[in-house]
Amino acid sequence: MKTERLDAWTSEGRRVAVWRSAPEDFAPDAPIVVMSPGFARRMRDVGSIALCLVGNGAIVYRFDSIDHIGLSDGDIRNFTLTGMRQSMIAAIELARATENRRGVRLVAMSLANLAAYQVAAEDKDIERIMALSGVVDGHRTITEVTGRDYLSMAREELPAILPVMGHDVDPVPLWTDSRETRCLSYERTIRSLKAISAPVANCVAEGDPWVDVGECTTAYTDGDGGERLVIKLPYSGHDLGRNPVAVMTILERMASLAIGNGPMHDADPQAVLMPTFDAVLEARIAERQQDFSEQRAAKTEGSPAV
Amino acid sequence: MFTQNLAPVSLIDSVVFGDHDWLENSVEWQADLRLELVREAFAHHLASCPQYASFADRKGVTAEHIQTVDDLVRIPQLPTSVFKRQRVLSVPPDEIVMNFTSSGTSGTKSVIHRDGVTLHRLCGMMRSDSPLFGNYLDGMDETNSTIINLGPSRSDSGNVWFSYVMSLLEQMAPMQSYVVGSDLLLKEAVDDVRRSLVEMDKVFVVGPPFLVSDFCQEVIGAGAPLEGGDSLFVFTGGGWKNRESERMDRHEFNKVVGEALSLADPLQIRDVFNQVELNTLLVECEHHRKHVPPWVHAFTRDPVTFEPLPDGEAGVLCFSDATAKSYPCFLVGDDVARVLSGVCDCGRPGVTMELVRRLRGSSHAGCAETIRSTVQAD
Ligand SMILES: [Zn+2]
Repeated sequence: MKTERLDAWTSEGRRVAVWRSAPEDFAPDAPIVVMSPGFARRMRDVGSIALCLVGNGAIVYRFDSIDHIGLSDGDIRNFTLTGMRQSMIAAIELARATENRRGVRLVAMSLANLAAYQVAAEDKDIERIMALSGVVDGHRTITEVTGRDYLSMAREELPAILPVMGHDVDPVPLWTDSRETRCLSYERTIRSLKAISAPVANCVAEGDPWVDVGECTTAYTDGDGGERLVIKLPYSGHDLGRNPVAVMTILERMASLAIGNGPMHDADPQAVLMPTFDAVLEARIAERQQDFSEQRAAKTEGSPAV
Repeated sequence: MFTQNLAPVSLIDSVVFGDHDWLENSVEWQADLRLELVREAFAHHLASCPQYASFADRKGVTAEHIQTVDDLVRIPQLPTSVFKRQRVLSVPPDEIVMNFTSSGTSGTKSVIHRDGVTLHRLCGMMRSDSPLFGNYLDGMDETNSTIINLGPSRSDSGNVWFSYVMSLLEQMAPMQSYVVGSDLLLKEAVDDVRRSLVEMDKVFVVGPPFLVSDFCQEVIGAGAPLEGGDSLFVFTGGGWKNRESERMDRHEFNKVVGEALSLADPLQIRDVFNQVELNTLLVECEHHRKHVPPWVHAFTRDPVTFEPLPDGEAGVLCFSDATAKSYPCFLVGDDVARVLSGVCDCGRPGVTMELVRRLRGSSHAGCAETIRSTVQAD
C-alpha cells in the first residue's frame, strides 16, 4: 500500500490533512473510498481498514477532521460535528479532483456516521455508506458518553471544559452547533436517511453502550430512502478496533460492502482478500512514524522564524 | 431493511483483547475461567491436530474428562522435543504466517508454526493497559515513551522467537533496535537513551540480561553518569544463554543496573518469562513473581514420576496455553520452577510462577535422572 499526504481545504479555507492510499496498479473504475475515523481517533487508527480496502483494489482517502486531534487545523477543544462534515466534504472534493471521477463511497466510524448521512443527503454521487459503530442519535450518544445531557442545558449552565474520551472539550461550540444545525438530533438523521437513495449499512455491536442496535434498526426503517442493512456484531464495547481478531471478521464484511457493486445484503465476504498479520502490524507502525514526522514538520512550519 | 449477524468472538479473544481486569477477580474466579478457556483449547486441538489427537487417545483422555479445575492436569502434554522432530499443526498449513525457532546456538531447535490468530493474540497482550503487566506500564503511551531494543529489529530477527517477541513491543511505542548483524551498537544505544531521557517521559531499555549488563558497563566506561531517575525502565527476558557463567543473581543484577543507570527504584527493572513453545508473556510483579494469566494453566510435575505436584513444590514447569491456535501448546517445559495459587505479596490474586533454574539436558526422554538431580540440588 502506497500512502501519500495531501491537503484539502474547507470552504472557509481551513486545512484538512488527507492520506491517499492506493494499490500499485488499479483499474480505471476502482472504487474511491473516503474514510473518516470517529471522535478522538486519528486517520492512522483506521489503517487496517485502509490496508484491506486497498488490498482489494480500492483507492482510499482518509482524513483527520478540523478542530480535532490529528494533523488538520484546529484543536479538539473546539470540536463540532459541522467541522467534521466540512472536513469530509473537503476530502471528497479532493478525491474527485485527483481521480477525475464523481462517484465516491463513504466509510465512517462512530460519530462520523452522522456527518456521512448529512453529506450524502445533499450529494447524489455518494454511491454507498458503510459505518462501523455508526452513531444515529448523536444527542443520546453524547449524553451517554459524557454522563449528562449537556446539549439540553441552558448555555450559562455549561461547564467551562468537558472531558470527553480523554480530551478536554469546550462544550460551547458543540452546544451552539447542535442548536443551530440540529446536526446531532435523531430527527436530522431520519431526514438525511430519507433523502439518501444509495445503500447504507452499519455494523453495530450488540453490547455497544453508545449505539443501540434497536435504535439503528428503527432509524433505518424510518429513513428507508434506499437499501438499509444493519449488521449485528455479538461483541461488547464501542471501540471495536481494539480486538484484532474481531476486526478481521468485521473487515471482511465491511470491505465486501464498501467495495462491492450489487445490493449490500448480497455482498460476498468470501471474495475479500484479507491483509496478512505482518502487513497489518507493519502498516500500523509505519503510519505512526508518518503521523509523528508530519506532526514534527507542522510544528516546525508553524514556529516563528529565528 | 435487512439485518444480518456476524459470528461471535471466542471467549479466549474476549479475555485477551477485552478490557476487564481479571486481577480484580478472585483466585477461584480466575480458575473457573482458566478451566473454560483451556478446555476449549484442548477440544480445538483434539479436533484439529491429528498427531495430538492420537497422542491424547493413547493417553485415554478426551475433552469430557476435563470437568473441574483439578482435571486440567490430565490434559496430555507434549515434551518440547516433539517440536524438534516433527511439524505439529492444528490449522491448515496455508494459514501459517511464520515458523519460529528458539535462539539457542547448539543442537536441534524447536520449530513452532504460528498463524495470524495466534500472533494477534500475543500482540493483543502487549498493550500498556493489559493486566498482564500489572501497573508496570501505567502512563506509557506511544507519544510519551520510547523503547531502546538491545536486539535486532523485527525485520532482522528472522525466525528467532525471542528477538521477534521483543521487537513486537514496538506496537506500544516507537522503538530503535541496536543489534545489527551480530553487532550490538552499545555506544549508539547509550547515546539514544541519554537523548530520549531529555525528550520523553518514559524510556524503556529491553533485552536479555547479559546485554543489559553490557549496556551498563558501557555507561560506566563512558564516565558520564546516566540519570535514569524515575523515567528509565529496564525490561529483561530470555535468560543468560551462552553467557551463563556471567549470570548474576537477581538481587545483584538489580543493584548493578540500578546503580549504573541511577534508577530511582529497582522496581523499574522487570523480567519476563517466555519460550518459543509458549505463546504468552509471564511478567514479573513488584515481588519478582511471574503472574500467570487465566488463559494459561501452569503447574509443576515430579521429575521422575511426572506426576503433578502440589502448589509451591519445585518441579518441572508445565504449561497449557489457550492462546495458541495453530499448535497444541500443552507442554512439559525446560525449566524447574515453583507455581503458587493465591494472593501474591503484591496483592494481586491468581497464579504466580517463580523460576528456579533451567533444566540440564536437552530432551525429556531419558533425562529423568538429570532432572531429578537438578531439582534435588535446589
Ligand atoms: Zn505479584
